[in-house]
Amino acid sequence: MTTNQDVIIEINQLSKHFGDYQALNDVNLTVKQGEVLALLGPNGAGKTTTINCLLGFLKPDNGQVRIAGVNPQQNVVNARKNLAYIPEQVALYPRLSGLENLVYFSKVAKVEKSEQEFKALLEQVALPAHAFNKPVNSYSKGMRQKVGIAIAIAKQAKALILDEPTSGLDPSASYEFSQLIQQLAKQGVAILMATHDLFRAQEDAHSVAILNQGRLVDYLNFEQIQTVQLESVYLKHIKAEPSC
Amino acid sequence: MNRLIITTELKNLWREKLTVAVLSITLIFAALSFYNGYQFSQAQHAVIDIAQQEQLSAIETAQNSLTQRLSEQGSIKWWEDIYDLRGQAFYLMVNYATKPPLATAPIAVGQADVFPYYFRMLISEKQNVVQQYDYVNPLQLLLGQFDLAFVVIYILPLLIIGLSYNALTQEQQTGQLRILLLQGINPQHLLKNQLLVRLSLVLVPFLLCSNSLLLLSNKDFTIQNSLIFSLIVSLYCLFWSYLAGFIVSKGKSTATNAAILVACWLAFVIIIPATLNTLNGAANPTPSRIHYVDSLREQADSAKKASEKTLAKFFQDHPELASTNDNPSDYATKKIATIIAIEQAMHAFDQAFLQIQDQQSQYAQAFKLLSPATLVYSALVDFSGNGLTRQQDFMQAVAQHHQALQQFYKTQIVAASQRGDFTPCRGCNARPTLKDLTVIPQFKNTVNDTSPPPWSLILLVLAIFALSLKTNQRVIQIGSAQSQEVRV
Amino acid sequence: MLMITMKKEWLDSWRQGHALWISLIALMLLLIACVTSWQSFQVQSATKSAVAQSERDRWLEQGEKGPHSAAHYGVYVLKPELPLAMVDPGLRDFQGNVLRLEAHKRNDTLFRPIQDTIPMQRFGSLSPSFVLQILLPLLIILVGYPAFSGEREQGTLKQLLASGCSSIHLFIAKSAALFSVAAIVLIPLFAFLLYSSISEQHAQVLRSALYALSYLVYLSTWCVMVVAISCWLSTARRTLIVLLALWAISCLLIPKIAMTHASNQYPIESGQAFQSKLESEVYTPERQQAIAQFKQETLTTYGVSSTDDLPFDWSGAQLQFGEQYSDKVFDRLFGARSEQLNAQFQYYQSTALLSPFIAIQTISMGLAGSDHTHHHNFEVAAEKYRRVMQQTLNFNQRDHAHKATSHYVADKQLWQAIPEFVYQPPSFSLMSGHYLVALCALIGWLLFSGILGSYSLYLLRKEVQR
Repeated sequence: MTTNQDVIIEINQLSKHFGDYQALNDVNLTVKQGEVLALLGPNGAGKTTTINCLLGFLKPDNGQVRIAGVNPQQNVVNARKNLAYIPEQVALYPRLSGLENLVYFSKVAKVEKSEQEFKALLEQVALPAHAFNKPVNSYSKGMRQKVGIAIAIAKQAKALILDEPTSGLDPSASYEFSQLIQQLAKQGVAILMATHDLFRAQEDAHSVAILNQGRLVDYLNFEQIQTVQLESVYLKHIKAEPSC
Repeated sequence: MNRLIITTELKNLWREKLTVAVLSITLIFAALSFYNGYQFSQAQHAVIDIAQQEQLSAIETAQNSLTQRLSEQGSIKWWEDIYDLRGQAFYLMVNYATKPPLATAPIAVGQADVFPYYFRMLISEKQNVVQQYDYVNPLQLLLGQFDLAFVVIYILPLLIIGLSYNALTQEQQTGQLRILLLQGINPQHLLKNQLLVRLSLVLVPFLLCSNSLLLLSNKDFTIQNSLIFSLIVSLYCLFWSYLAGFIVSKGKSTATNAAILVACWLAFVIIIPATLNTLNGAANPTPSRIHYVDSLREQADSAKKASEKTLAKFFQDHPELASTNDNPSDYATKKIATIIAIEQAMHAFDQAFLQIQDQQSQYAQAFKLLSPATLVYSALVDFSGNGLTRQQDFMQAVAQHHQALQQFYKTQIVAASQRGDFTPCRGCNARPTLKDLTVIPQFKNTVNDTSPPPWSLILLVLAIFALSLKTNQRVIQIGSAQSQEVRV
Repeated sequence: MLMITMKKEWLDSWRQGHALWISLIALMLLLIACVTSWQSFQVQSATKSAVAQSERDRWLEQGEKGPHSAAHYGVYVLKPELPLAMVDPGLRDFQGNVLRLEAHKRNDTLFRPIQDTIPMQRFGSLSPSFVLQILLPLLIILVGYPAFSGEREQGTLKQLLASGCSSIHLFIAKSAALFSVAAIVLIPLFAFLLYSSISEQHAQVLRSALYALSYLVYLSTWCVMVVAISCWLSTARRTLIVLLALWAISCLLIPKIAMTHASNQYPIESGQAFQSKLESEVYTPERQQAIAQFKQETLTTYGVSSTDDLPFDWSGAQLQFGEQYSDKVFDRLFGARSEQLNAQFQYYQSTALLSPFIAIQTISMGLAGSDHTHHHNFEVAAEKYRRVMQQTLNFNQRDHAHKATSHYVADKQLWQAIPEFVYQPPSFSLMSGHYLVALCALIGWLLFSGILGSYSLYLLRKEVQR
């Protein structure tokens, strides 16, 4: 039994349309403390629109979202205080080092730590020590993701939103990344992960939501995920939907 | 927060090779353009010094050789005699009217390479005197001088654009802005600080370098001058920086921003001024100097043909000079009378030129507001004392001096003629009629002021204010939720 | 294949929309420039011929007077312009168009139009040459910068090359499409050149043809260079910045710095110093001595003891001797100044190797006859005329004055004996030697842009193979 306090990410009857196109239609979802929710769906299913509503960049037409109980429509600053976000391509300043990026992005969020503490964070996300002071433009994608996670950890956000985090990562980097995600979840962070990576979703997620054409077409909890073949469930839903 | 953004921005820019290049270009250009402007004003100073020296030594030589002249028994031609009023008036007088460059002159050469800044005065038609000019390579005139004003008007905006075109949009395009917004940054602060840092990288070294060179090179260049110069330059650069902010706040791609900003630069600095000049010339056409020559010839011919009549009119206009002497109509009086007659006849033509120049100036005054470049250029040129206002004052002083000399010679010549001093005496052609050259009127330079920066610069402040308001409105939108498209 | 690619490139740049707008703006500016130039040229030409005629009438109708009075009366001559000066007024406004020819003096041309203008005029005004030399390259840059780099960013470049499209064909097609956009702007110019070669009196067909050809080369250079740099650099943004920097350096900075350096390197004296020199070097004791010596020699030759006994008028002979004496000083002083000026121009011209703008500017002004070389040619012709005129007048005085019972005066017959000054600007083949460096530089720039193109194609091939 979960209480309302446990729910960090809350999506209620969310609808959004762009002109004639219905991007989201009455979507309801919650992500609790320590839960990893994988949001699946084909391109154009509404994953990114959902994320943009959560991040406070897009106004929903109907329904609402809450981050740790705060509606970004009403108080975007407070809502974002509880949020961390890692996009597909972690955008860092290429000429600054990983450490410098971490320090800058953290200090912008008013996180005050010593340099040692920041280094410890980079160690925590397993960034090789020799890379701390190298400019980010020499980093691999996996290394950038790690700096992105370090920024999220430093912020001590209650919710972490990931947009296609493993796309383009090699299997070992992808594995390392999933370890870090698990670690964060264990620390109580609610994680929403939009992805196409069904394997990682099955491995890492505690729950799976499948979106198609703006509708939530299926929701699987942890037990269900363990018992089904995620790929066949996914394909069944996608193919079942009549094409427009 | 501001400090954090500024230091990171500086760190970021510093690691880009471009920044070092911009800094070095700014410093090199500031020094080089100052040097050119300074050389130019020094060359004018040198010419004026030589002219004044020549004038003094002519007076001195006359003083020292007077005894020798008085004892001279041989034949002396009056046109070669420095002690003869006529010789002095028409051929030998060393009398200069000069306009020395101001301490601020190295800032903008302006029209100083075109406008005459010294005149060797002789009793001749004013129309002939004022057409003298200092020979400068015409190609140099076409291309313009490489002075501080050029660097300010043309180069600094390009450097500011080169550094600022990707402010905010770089972050927007690559996704840093999204994260920064989620980290709680205020996009207005981010943009403001980015622009400030980028502007400072251009403006501060330029102002430091140019002001210290100006202050060191001329003790008359005051702190106040330095402040005014810095104010004008800063306002202009601020305009470009805010314009860059305004353009980047539209959220287009960095390449589009660069293209739009360059198009703005091209429009403000090159196309608008050139088009306005062309239209100004078409709307207020300068009368033809070829017609002028024609008229001058015509008037000179008729005055000379009617020389006796001209002389009679001269004495009618100047009854105080007329005497009971039988035949005052000597060559010199006749010549002066003819000169005055030609000047009077040409007055209307001269006025036509002045009037058109005034009209063109008024037109330019009104339309310079269309471009910050023309606004600031005219402020800099006026401030450096190389503009039209100071030149017109100088030309007026020259005209007055010309009048004073004419008055002096006509009175003296008529008197000497009536005394019979020009009649050949035994052993010489004429008596010395001008023993002391210090009595010849000297040019008094009253044109010395640096004009204060014009009020029209307030327009620039207003433009900056309007741009900043609009930019702020747009930037606030970036961070907030949109109903149709995501800005970051 | 080439044609298909060219067609696609052309359509692409046209549909981008901004190519159309930029071309329209440039076309409009060029038209404004052409119309105002045409208008002022027509007015100027009419004024010049009217005033030249009335000046000639004045000379003929000056009445009876001593030849030396007539020599002082002098004449004003006007510099005619070639029709091409309409499209490139060059230095017209910066050097006078009127020259006073009189006894004892060699004058500089008078009434530089720039002296009657306001400081704002120094921003320049719209002339067709200004549009063609400065604005058109910018148009080419703004339309052409994404030629390769834009496609590279979109990923279509790799796709195109992988599908077998030859990179050379692509390069040629892109350059040709860009050139055709720029050439649209040239159409009114060419029409104008054609019309003026047919209709104007002093038109020189060789000049017009070379003029058109030079601009074609200049614009081709920019087109190829823009496409080459776009091919070389990875992003459209970087291409744009580099090209704009090149433009600013080539069209704004180098010319100004080169000219400033040239005038510092080969300084000319200030007008004040030059005038003082003229006065002090002409009227010297040596001159008096030379005149005395000439007098003595003349007396000896004719075996007389007084000039009154000479079979001609001594004052006429002396005046001519004096003229010849000062002519030598003029030749030396004006020659030295002219040499310095020439050195400045040559230095400037040599920097055409650093900037295609300088090359085309020099050639264009040379072809339009609005540069200093042509101006100097006019001054030399006028000075030659002045000397002949003075000699005719002085010889007349020498040969006839002694026969007169009282003060000798000449009449219209003598004034008519001096023909009217008719100056025909020289043909370009005579003047071409002055512009060899610029001509070579312009061709050099075209070659350079070709080499740059080949190099960037080489880099492109390497990039694709990787």
